[in-house]
Amino acid sequence: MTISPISRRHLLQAGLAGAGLSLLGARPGRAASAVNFQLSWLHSVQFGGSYIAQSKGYWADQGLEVTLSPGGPNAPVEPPVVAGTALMGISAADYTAAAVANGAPFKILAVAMQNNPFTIASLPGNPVHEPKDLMGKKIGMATANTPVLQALCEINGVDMSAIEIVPTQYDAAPLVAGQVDCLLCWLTDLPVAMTMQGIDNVTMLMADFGYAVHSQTYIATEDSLKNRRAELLALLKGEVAGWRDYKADTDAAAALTVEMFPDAGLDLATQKLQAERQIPLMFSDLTEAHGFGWWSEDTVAANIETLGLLGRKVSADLWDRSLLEEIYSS
Amino acid sequence: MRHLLGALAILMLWQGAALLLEGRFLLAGPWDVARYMAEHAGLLGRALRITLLEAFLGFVIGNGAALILAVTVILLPRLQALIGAVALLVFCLPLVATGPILRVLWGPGIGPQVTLAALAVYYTSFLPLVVGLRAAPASWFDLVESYGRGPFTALVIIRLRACLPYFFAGLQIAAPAAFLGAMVGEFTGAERGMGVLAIRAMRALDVEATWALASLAAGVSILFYSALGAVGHRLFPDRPALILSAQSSAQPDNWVLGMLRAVALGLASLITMLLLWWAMMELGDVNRFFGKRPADIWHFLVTAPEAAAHRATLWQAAQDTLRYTLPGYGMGLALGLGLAAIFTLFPTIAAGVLPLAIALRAIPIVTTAPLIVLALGRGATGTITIVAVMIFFPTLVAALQGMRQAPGQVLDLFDSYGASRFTRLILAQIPAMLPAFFAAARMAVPAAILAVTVAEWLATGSGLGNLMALTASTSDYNMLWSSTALVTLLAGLGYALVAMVEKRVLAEMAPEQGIGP
Amino acid sequence: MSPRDMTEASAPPEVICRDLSMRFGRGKTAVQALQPTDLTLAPGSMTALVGPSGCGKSTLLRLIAGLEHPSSGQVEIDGDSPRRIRRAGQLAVAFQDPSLLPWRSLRSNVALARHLARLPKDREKVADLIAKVGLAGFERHRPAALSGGMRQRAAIARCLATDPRLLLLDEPFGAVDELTRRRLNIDLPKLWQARGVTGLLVTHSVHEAVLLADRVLVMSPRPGEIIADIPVPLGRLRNARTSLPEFAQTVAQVNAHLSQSAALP
Repeated sequence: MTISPISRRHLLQAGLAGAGLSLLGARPGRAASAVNFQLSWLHSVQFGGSYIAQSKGYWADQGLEVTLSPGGPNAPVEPPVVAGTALMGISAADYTAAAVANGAPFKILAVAMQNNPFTIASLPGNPVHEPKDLMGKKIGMATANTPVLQALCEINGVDMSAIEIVPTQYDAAPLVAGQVDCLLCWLTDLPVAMTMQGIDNVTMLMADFGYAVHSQTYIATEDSLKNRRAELLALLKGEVAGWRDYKADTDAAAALTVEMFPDAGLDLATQKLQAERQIPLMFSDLTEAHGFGWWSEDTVAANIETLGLLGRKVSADLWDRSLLEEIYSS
Repeated sequence: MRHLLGALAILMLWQGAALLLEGRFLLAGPWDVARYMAEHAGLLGRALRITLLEAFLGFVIGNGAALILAVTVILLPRLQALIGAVALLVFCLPLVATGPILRVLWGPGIGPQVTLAALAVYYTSFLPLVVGLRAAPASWFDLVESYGRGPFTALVIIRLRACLPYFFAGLQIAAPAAFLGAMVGEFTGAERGMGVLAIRAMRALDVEATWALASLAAGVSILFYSALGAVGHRLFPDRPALILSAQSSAQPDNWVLGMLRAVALGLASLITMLLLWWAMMELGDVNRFFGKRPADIWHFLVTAPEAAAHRATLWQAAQDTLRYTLPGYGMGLALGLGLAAIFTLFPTIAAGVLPLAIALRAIPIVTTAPLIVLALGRGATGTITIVAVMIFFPTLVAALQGMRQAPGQVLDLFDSYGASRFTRLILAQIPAMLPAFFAAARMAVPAAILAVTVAEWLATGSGLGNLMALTASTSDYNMLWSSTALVTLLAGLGYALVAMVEKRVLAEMAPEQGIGP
Repeated sequence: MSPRDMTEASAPPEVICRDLSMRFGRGKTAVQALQPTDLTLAPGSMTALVGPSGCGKSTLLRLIAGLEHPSSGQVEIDGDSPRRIRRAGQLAVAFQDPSLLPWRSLRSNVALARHLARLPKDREKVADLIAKVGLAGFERHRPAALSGGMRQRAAIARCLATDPRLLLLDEPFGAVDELTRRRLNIDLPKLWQARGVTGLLVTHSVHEAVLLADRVLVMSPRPGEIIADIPVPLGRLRNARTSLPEFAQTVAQVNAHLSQSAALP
């Protein structure tokens, strides 16, 4: 029953790696090399750029056959990358840092979300516009995210003990039902869901208040970076091209997503709104100047500081920009 | 007719509650649910098809494994205790932790869904099979032996056929469990299926979709449960009453000897589990980053410098979990028993309610948990109730069926003295019920642990269930494996404890019902 | 089967029990089921074993069949262990209950014996036996659809389906009513008496023992031992001769031994 990723990798190293051929993809009569790309959540327009790369053949053109593996509430994201069943994965700086602390040899190759999508969502009648407004409120969130709230409070000098945390499942019902005053969630899901249901809501993006944690980061192992560099380069190139198209027409990206995954239960209007809301998180002056996925020493420094507040000690060499530099220099 | 009225009453209650809660995005009434189903028939149909396929494959594989295990136990009776204990421990593995591990082992595809479905069914099929494979008079085996044929011939000619009614009863319980396993398996990163849609619907605040999916899952479970029940009833009209009976072993004369034997068995199964764990990791060549070995966990919990802190975290979570599990377990058993007693005293109520209770038993916990949390909140009450509900239905059904085991002549004797219903209940029906009740109480232990860890993971955010979900997302795999091992150990210990009480009580109260061959 | 087996296949075996005893359990709770017993069953003879309940009759029969292992002594069947004759498919045992598999038809139950004895299928023989035990027309019936007496007859048919050389009957008519029992006592012996078999019949009916056997052994209450060995001075197929004084005398003789043993402390 067990697939043996490691032995597969040994085989690769033994002979096939040089030829840039993965054993998995070495199907007869096809030169394409097959790689698995581990997404961090269920299929949705969140990964719209990747779907564009897939459907427009940005990967196929480079001889790459990509499988996009969805995530889920109980899905492992980092382990397949460590094990080699996935060449690249989508993580976030905090999760990547945690994995590295536990011995995963990861590098962040690119940053899709320059601004962290964590948001405090509330209702207009009882709004949270800035961190100070949180005091005296009941916030619904997964207790796993307590350090996130802690970091936000610390950055903004808010007394955390004045906030009551109510453990909730990740859905908007408790806020709408009045069980809590606000929710800790992603800008791109629960607020979008509420808007689509006709519920006015107020959002406060934590990134606007100093919470600097790169999200939707592309990760791979040091080993892959060394030995499967060509494939990683091709993967990222496709991503860059895909997200360029995404930015040009988010509606088309949403439509493509719904079309590609008819069984995912996606709603076109919701996907369109989500696609639109994602733009300011992913594209900034920095990406305007240098290209999709880029980061600067300054943003990394800010990340290291926030990660420190989250209890994660990392150094700047967690970020490896060499692939991006190679892509944008040509 | 009565069932129809019962179902109608539920539908009306449901619609009423929906109207009451309108605009709070908690509850969609049957009318909205039906409309949603009609409008999205294609989507739901495709999702149902894939989840059913996963469940079916898991069902076949899980029951096949159960059959192989049971046959092994029959042919090698010396291994019975060990195989039984290890099979139980594997069954107790928390799916919050096994899900991601299976996903890593399998990679993309339906592997984890099928495996979780198989894991969800094999134990509840294994137990009745072991009983069923022995459910034949000794003279049949003498007959085979008198022609010089061995155990294998007896297996083929007698046992495999004699076990069919028991096997069928096991299959009936397995069908909803397989569906649940497949749905939860989809949480580990599936492309499509009911589980995928359920996550999406909850996040999108799509109450109609959420309830449509819950209703569909419940409906499918009830359907398969009832269908298998009907087929089984047709094929084997005399259904076995006690399908999850203990595997009886000769009572040792000496109490101390019995204890020693139990301890030896515990140790042997522990060592076997550790070996299986280690072998699985080594043979699968699973990466040490997440595929921790027993030695890693030993280091993490015992020899590492921060071991004390790790143990404290683990212990704190375990205490939280136990705080919910124990009252929920007790409440579930007590309610099931109490209601069974009331139904026995007033049989007219039972006739209407029992089919409903049997059907409700089939509804998977992923469906019930959020609803209960909605109703009772995310605190202790909600979690305890989830545990209690998980245990309540099987206990009620088992206790009621058990009370019917009271021999007719004994009841006639009571009647001939004009004894009251209550006397009859206390002196005849409750003692007759004990074996069935304890069988249910034993199986309720893993069920309670499953319920509490799922509730902690999805709702309350505390305890071992939460710790497992949390450590999986932050790559703290040492803690994840430690929690997994602890949960499994607790479930195994709880089961053994109930089995011990069972043995003592049955020896006192119902020696003639000493179960097994 | 070796050529030697083939030549012997039709000849009834000699059964010799030497110093055979059986003790169940250990320590204080041990039960002596059978006192050390010596016994020889002559080839081709039918021996009846009578005695009070629990005296060890069935135990003795099971020891000869090799279904139990003796605490002491041994059983020799043609100079070999019971295992050999079982393996050769030349033993047939009729148990106290008919032991028909409820999910098989009558025909299939009878045919099962041949399957178990590794003999080729023989539909005609099975049909013939079913007819001979008076069950023609019931071939497709399941045991549940048959009366107690019919089931007993089916069990006898099954016993004979393999042409056994050694036939052990453990109260095969114990569970049927008296009328049926008499009918069976008349009908069935013809079937095995026509062939050469060595037989042992355990029964608690003295009438039956004298009717069916060439020799009647009387056992004492537990711990059982053989206290009398009474030859039956009548030819076979004696059902027409039950009115003869010899029959009544033999019955009286057996009864006397039985009551004498029962009077012991």
